Amino acid sequence: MESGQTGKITTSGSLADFKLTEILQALALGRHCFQVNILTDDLTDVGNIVLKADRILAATGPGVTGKPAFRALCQRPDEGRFQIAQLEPPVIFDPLGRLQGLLLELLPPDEPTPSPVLTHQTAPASAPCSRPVSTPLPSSMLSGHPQAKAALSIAVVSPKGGVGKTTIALNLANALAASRRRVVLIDGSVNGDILAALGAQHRPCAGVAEVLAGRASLEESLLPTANPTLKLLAAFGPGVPVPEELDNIGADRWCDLITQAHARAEIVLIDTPAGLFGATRSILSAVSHVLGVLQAEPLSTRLSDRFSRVIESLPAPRRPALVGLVVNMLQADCDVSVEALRELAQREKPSLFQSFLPRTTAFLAAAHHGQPVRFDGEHAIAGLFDAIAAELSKRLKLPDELGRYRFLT
Amino acid sequence: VLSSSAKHALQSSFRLVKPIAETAADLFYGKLFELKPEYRVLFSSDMAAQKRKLMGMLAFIVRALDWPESSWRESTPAETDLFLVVLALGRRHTRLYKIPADSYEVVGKALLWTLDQGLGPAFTAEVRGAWAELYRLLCCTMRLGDGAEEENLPSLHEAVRGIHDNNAESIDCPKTETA
Repeated sequence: MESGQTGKITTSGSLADFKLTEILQALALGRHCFQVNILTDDLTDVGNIVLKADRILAATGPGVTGKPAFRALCQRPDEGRFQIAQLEPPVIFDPLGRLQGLLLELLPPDEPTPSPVLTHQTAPASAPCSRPVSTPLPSSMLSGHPQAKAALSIAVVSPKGGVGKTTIALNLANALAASRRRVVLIDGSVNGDILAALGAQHRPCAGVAEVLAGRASLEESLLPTANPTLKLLAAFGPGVPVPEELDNIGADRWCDLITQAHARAEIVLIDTPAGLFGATRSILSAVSHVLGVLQAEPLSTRLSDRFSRVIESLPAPRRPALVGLVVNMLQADCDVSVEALRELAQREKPSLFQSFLPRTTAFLAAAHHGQPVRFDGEHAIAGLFDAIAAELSKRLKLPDELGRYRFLT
Repeated sequence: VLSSSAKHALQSSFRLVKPIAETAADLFYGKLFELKPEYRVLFSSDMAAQKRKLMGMLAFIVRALDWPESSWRESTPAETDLFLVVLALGRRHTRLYKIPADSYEVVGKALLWTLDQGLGPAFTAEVRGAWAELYRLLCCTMRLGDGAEEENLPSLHEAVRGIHDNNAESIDCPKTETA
């Protein structure tokens, strides 16, 4: 590449303090041409990357050039030093690509799909993505602040128990992951319903309680699933749960946990305890969105306005948005159930999802086998969850491109 | 990387801040001194000028992000280049003003809180995310400025000229600088 160092601007530092991907993103704020030299601690040259604005013009690494060099340099361990020098832009150049696109290519490839049941807690080694492509703000900056709302986090809630909230959270997470979105499903209920629904309640070595108590890291606590883009975080690890540990988690600590989870996923979905108060209120104060679940029966029509009333009762900075209401357990052959749906449709029409879930033995069978309905051969019911996932994505204006755009930024 | 939609969110939200610039600046410094009362002595007693400088800097940042994709091959003067200007700002903060490194976090908190208060419902998750991402990149750039050579770094004075009537040197000019 024909270009020359101008000597105008130079800066340097340690790669222990700055990630290379972070440096490149900062340089992309401007429009000048820069070369970033990567060096070992004893200043031996490792390689360099040239960029102008948000275009990577060239990369040279150990024995390679172009995109392979860019990948190799960005995936090196966080060690050594860097130097940045301003260049006169070359007269003729053919960029390797835009920085954002090249960083996307650094995302880990999908893991091989295991058998359609939860694998053991000892998670497989992570795919070879040695560093995050985007560094979140320090978690302490989030404390007492609704920063977690910047991340896409959805609490699945209901004003009463027994409406199928856990079933919907599990199957919706599965449907979102099936559309190749990266999802972390967190069990926010002290009852540990998600793992129980999968017949895997004995498997987690740690969960929300242990992570927030500092006894385990989120990374080691996330459970892999049959779908490589879906991870689960149990409510607690082995043994008898200590209810206070989960019930007394404040909104700030939930914010921190969600932020950590969001660094690993595009969407963080949280199953909550029944009701809209107590522990659920803390979760509501930490998430960006709420997905309400209602049963197609008369009591639901009397409680349907509770979602908006409870949300409005939260202080403005803590207030999540209601992304919609899912109607569950519709009995098409029961006039009372159909009438309840009709009434809900009149009252809550803008909020209701267009797909309704029936009361069906398919859920019982899936629970019996410890699987989401998709893996239990219930393709029609799985299709309804796909439709709800698609409508959810549309309401949230999620990008279509494999959901990866939001994951990066 | 700031996406096109993030830039749009920053620009459209800042358009809403402009009419309430004075109030926003009041909110920002009020929050900053509430979080860190000891920072009050770092600033000149003329807080009105300081507040104008803050809004001038924000206006410069948002405007510097506004250029057509098709012109990425073109060069821009150093004093209008966001990376170079913020790099120089970071260098001055560390070497000249001795601003502590932990101030980035506090200022970020105050900034996001101010935008939240000022924009109300318009401060959506998307807008918040865009400002948080921009601030993260600006902090990284300022920290990079710590190791920068001083020669030829652009002056913020030039950068802000034309953006605001009051020519500003820094958003965080210490008293010693402005006295």
